[in-house]
Amino acid sequence: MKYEPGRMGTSEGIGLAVIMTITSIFVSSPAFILEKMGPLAWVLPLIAGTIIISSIFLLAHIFSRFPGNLISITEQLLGKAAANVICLYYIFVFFSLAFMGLREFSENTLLIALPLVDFNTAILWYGLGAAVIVYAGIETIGRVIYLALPFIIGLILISLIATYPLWEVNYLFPWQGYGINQIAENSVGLVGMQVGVIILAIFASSFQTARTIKTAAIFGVGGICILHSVFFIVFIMVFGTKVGMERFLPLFELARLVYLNHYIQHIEAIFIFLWVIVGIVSIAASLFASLFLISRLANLATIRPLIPAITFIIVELSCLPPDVTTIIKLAAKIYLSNFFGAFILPILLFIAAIIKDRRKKSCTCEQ
Amino acid sequence: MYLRAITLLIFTVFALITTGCNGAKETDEVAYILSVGLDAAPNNQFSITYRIAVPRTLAGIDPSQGQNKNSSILVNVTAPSLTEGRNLLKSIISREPMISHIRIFVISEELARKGLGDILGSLMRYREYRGTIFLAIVRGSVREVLEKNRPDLEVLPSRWIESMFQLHSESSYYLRADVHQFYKRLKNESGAPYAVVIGINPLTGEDQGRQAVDKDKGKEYLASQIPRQSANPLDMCGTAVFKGDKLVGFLNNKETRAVSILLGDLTRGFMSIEDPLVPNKSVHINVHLARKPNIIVDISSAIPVITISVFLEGEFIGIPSGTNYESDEYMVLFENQISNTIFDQITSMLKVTQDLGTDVINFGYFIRPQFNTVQELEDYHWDSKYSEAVIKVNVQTKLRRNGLMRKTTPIRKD
Amino acid sequence: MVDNIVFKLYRSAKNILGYQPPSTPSPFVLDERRPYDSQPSAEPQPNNEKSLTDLTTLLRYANRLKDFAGRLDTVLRSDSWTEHAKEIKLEFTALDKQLCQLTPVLLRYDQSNTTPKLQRLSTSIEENRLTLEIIYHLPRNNDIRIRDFSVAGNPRVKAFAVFIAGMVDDKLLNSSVLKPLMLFDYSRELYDNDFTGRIIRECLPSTQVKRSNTFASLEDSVNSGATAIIFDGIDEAIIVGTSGWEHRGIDRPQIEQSVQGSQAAFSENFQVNTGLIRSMLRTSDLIIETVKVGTRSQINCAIMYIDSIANTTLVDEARRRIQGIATDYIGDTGELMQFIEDHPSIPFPQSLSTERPDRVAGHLAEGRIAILLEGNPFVHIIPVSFFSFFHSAEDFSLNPSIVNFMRILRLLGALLSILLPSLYVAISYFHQEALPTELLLAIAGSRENVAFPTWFEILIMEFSFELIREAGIRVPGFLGSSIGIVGALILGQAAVYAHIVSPIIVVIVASTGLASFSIPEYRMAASIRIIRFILLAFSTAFGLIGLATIFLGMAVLLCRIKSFGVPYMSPVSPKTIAGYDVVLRGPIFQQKGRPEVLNVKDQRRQPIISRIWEKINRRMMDKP
Repeated sequence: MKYEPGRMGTSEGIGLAVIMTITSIFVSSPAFILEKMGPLAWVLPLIAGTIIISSIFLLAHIFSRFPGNLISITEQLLGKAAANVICLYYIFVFFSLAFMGLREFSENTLLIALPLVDFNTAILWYGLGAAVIVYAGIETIGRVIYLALPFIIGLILISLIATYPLWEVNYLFPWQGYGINQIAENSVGLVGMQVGVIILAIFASSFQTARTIKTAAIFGVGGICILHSVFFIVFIMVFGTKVGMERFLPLFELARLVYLNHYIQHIEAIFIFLWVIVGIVSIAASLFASLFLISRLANLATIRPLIPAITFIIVELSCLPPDVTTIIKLAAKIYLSNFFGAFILPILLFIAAIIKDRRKKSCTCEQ
Repeated sequence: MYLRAITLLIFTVFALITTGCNGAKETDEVAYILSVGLDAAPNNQFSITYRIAVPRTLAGIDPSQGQNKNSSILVNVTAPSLTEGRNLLKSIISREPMISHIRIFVISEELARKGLGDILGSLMRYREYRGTIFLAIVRGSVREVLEKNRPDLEVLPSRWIESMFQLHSESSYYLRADVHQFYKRLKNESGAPYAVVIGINPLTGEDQGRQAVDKDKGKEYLASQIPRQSANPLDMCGTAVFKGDKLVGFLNNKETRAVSILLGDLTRGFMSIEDPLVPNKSVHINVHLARKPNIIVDISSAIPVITISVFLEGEFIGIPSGTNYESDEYMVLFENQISNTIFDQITSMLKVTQDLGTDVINFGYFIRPQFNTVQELEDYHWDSKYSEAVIKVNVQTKLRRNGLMRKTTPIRKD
Repeated sequence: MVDNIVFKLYRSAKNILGYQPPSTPSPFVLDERRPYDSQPSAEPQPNNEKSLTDLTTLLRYANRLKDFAGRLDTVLRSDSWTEHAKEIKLEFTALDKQLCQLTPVLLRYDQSNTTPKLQRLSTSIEENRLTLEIIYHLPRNNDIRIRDFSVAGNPRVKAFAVFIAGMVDDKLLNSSVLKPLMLFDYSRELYDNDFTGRIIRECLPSTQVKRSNTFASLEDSVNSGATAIIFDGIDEAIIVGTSGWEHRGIDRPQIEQSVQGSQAAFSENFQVNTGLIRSMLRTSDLIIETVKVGTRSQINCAIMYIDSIANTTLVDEARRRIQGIATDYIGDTGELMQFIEDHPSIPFPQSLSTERPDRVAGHLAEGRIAILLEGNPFVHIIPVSFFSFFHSAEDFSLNPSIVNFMRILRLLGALLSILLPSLYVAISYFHQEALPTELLLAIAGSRENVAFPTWFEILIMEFSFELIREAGIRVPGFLGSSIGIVGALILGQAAVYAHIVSPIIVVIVASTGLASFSIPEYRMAASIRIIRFILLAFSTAFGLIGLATIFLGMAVLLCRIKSFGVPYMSPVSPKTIAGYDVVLRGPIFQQKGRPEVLNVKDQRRQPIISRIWEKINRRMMDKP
């Protein structure tokens, strides 16, 4: 089919995995996690990352037995109806990721960079940017992020390290934060937030082998989760729990606080660069995934005519919530529900695959 | 077709640029505010003083032009809040006031005693303010302070402020105090916020200093008390201590240095210590922290016990009496003298803060690892326990270097 | 109906919404698979049948010969042999002819055992010729010439001369080789003892003459410009030094000047150009194919590659594309490239244009293809990656640390050239907090007297700078450079004094212009210049947000395009194994492989330990 993307390797896989996870550092979620977890917040990304990686590993294990992508193996394992239902479910997931990302990123653009710009201009700008990138295809999206990866990670690390005069290690204590029992509840939300990594499974047939997907998940998701954790550590050391959870855009606030001397200060302008690149590309990736699934579901020959229409729908959708608080509340609910798609569904598929595998084996034994 | 499409595109972009719907501001449409001062005014209002840069004088095309003109102007309005003040300011100056280059917030003592919570709220939320703005308390009129600030070495008063704070550890007579640390201590579980004290020196040369600790020959001053007669009349000296968001007291220069030692900031400090053998003479030394002070807070009993051990290193600058302190037997004697001096300063500082009930050192920070959850930490209520805490201070000094002199030979006496 | 812009826009909008996948074949992608690694030598399978027929033909001929010999025997034993003489003579000539025809078959049979290079010369002139054709990939290879002639003498001796056009001096070849052999003494008897010795002694008035009886040494000499002469019936060749390719005298490079390395550049002469490449890359594996381009004016276009390295599919694709050009006239390599490159509408160059033969040789050795058009001094190299445009010709003749410094400088120059004006505009319009207070106030102060908005100032200065650059090219001779400097200095100074621009703009535009000259490739510098203006427009409209978006768009474009099936950003994204020579480069003796993306036939360039002498030394030292 025409809309099948090109062949992808480890680097594209890492790029996709990174872009689907790194957004959780950029938006206001760290502040919410900090409110729930206190000084223990840094553990959460590691746990969420482990869950996500293991879920990708389960899927990769299925792909090594039954070649294809997430939808086609569901069709093989559970039948066509189930495949369509799952396809619909993931369309919803990526759609929600795209429109919430669009709203949050353009909303915060007003906050950090262009306070006087019209909100509609900002949201159209992001929508247009994402749509243009979708034309380039998922392969290119992965490559662009892989190309930009050293700069993204490097600049984040620089803004983290440059705050070292403000580090106060004891703010990482009391080490249990608001209680260890908080981990389970909050990691569900964070995993749901990073559900986008399932994109690796959706485009699994374009990857060289199942092993490529595993490598991409380990290095992409793993790397970003470690970065996320380091970010939490620095953020808590600089702000403490109480002040930290007040902040709307934690990473931006960290960059704002950098003051090394007369000349090295106010480095948040660098951050705007990262903000735009990560924002637009992550929206584009979610958009592409949902477009791919839609055309898969409806058996279309190509996705290109859909791009303007779907982009328009997403822009309109993200204009619907009246204020920032609503969208954040909505996002929190959707992220919680996304845990199903990020972890439970892969486990179900894995069990189905094992049963099918065993049945096949027993059949061959009888013969 | 191609040419027309390009023309169309160029005109669209041109329209985008020129309509100004994007909030672009030319540099000559903006007035850069460098510092803001807040005085108390009647009827719960503020008297707000802005210092605004005059860029024309700083162009650097023709240096002879800019010399005589003022590099900045002062505007004063009275308004019920900072935001309203900004509106009024816009009616006074032609350009849009821009706050993001503010260097310092200066607040009057009167206002600070009432509490800074209201002011800080808008400071932390609006994007143009940032945590790196410095914070100072003025004993007296803030407007006068901003007015009289005429730095001799810098063109801009803001640069003077920045350099002052940057190089605070040269003497440690004042601390580096910015909005971020103030707010962090205000909101987090422990620690008393502090700010720098600025005062206007009368320039009479009159000595108002107080000799508190006998062995330190230097006197104790607060801003505006330094005996001097010339130069920029602004003094930056001492620390204003807050309990909650309310100003409760001041620490003088020696106490501030003690705070600096316990915060682990002292990178250099010259001292004149009384000569242990020739009491009317003093010995000049340069001390710094060998490592961060080791602070252990024991909370097992009802009254917390704080154990502080400070290890200082130093170097001789001058020994006027000619006593041979470089030799082993005298060295120990003199090191003890230093330790005792510092010990006295630290304990007197701690006593002041305990009396005020303000944990400037943030001892509460050190008890954090002893709790498992945040709830336990909050339930302990450190602030109320600080005043009763037993504090044990142990100061050790080691003089490592003699300066350029190997030993002193006495002055010939006939 | 009038076909105006409104209808066109409407139609393009309709195209976007009602898009149908085009019916064109899927784009050419150089495959990632490595066909040359996995396939064993099962190649000759289909040839077996052919060789069977060959062998049966030979067998039939042998039978016929045997019959003939038997008949001859009986005839000679009989008394009446004179009667049969005519008949036998006829049959003999027939057999002789058949033998001539069968020679290739015989030769093929011979060659299935040994590689042609290692063979000795045969006495049969046809056989020798065939071997040479195999060695030099004739008739694909176009500049290898075989000249048949006969040597004057009694009887006349059939002979041919082998040489490479462009590497030999034609005059020398005519006057000192062909003329003496062909024209003089008709009465001498050549087939005496020591044929070649006599030819050398008596007929060849040349300074460098030697004998050779293996193809290997013959090939060596021919590759370096000598002419080999092979005679019928003699298993030795005479090699005459006739080398005379155009060197150094031709011209110095005008655009790609370098401090180190060769100082020769291509010229307009096709033959001279191919000769220059051959003189640098002396292997008979170097193939120079020519394809005629253009229907009205048929111009030779050479596709050059090294047969044992370059990927065959890539070569086929290049040939297919060049052969698939239907146009009237192509006069320039740049024009040709626009006909064959993947994305002709994108300003980024997709082939490396060079006027230096040493650069071409280096790239050919890496497994790339060079395309040369007759009458054009620029050779284009395909496929290329983005990073090749920041390499210069002398990069490998210098120490890595020096080169890396310069490469970083060039990349920074490119970045500065793209970003600086738009970054300035974005920050001074939208993000004034990003500058230190003093700098901001200095900028603001210098702008106080200027009557124009910042973006207009930059635009004025950029346009003036572009004008100066354009004038510098158009104004003839040495006047050009002086106009550039004087123009820039005076214009900038005057503009500042007239309060049209602020001094800081002059600094920014001047350093931008300077930085753009650090990019070695002209077309890359030009495309970066265009992007600079786009960035300027969008950063004026949206500040850093606009700047970052367009920058991102540029990255997407770069990651998407392919140069002849190879991803443009290839060794970096997608990540492939490349020699340590992308942004920075490592020591040349550690470059053990060729770039993986090219998928060449021979991945290895040199062994891991290429400084073998070090190894030997150590071993010798270990010995007591």
